Amino acid sequence: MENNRGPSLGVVLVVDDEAGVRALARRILEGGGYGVIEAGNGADALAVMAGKQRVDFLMADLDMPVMRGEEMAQKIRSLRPDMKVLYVTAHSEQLFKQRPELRDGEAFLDKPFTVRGLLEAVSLLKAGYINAPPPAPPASPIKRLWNSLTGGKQR
Amino acid sequence: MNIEPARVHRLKNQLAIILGFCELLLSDLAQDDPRRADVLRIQEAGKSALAELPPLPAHELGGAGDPSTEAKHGK
Repeated sequence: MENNRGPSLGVVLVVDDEAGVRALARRILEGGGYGVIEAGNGADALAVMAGKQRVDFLMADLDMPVMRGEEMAQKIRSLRPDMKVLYVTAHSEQLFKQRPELRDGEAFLDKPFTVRGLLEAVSLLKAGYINAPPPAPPASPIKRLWNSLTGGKQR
Repeated sequence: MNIEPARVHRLKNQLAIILGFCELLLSDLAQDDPRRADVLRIQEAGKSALAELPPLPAHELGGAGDPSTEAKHGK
């Protein structure tokens, strides 16, 4: 288990048996303003949840040895019914054919995921909407001069 | 291509790492950085490898499917 740095948008417990996937998720989520705690399996994740560390979201690989992600998430949600869960899987389409209904506070993300895909998925889970894109860079001095002369009208 | 489902799963995991870190590197490198071309080649090769992998049958590993970046949410 590895600990997190200061979060601003919340703390995500990333559970995946693949260290590289956990490292990738950490880079993306920390870049997006989230704190991250890593766990390599379901038992470690349950140990984190039993501790006093803040956890706001669970990002769970579905296909892990020993304890599958869904079983782990159900155990965690029995302790924390409000816990939002993002399942990450390489085979979500077929999984959806088997289980078309998601429970409240659950989401699936296909693996491989993009930077934007992961951040949007967590943002949707958190707030029900996607965070606004970062603001545009400030206009160049020439553009500012043009805007001041024309009131911002395009030629 | 005939590959065991468990191996397909492991390969997808590894390709997810390669493609994900390629994307992070590309976002860090300046547009005129000559190393971008190298990273783009790695990324293209990763995507080609991913496209070569067969979909997993539904009865394997609890489900299978095509990779995408779409997230699906509960109510």
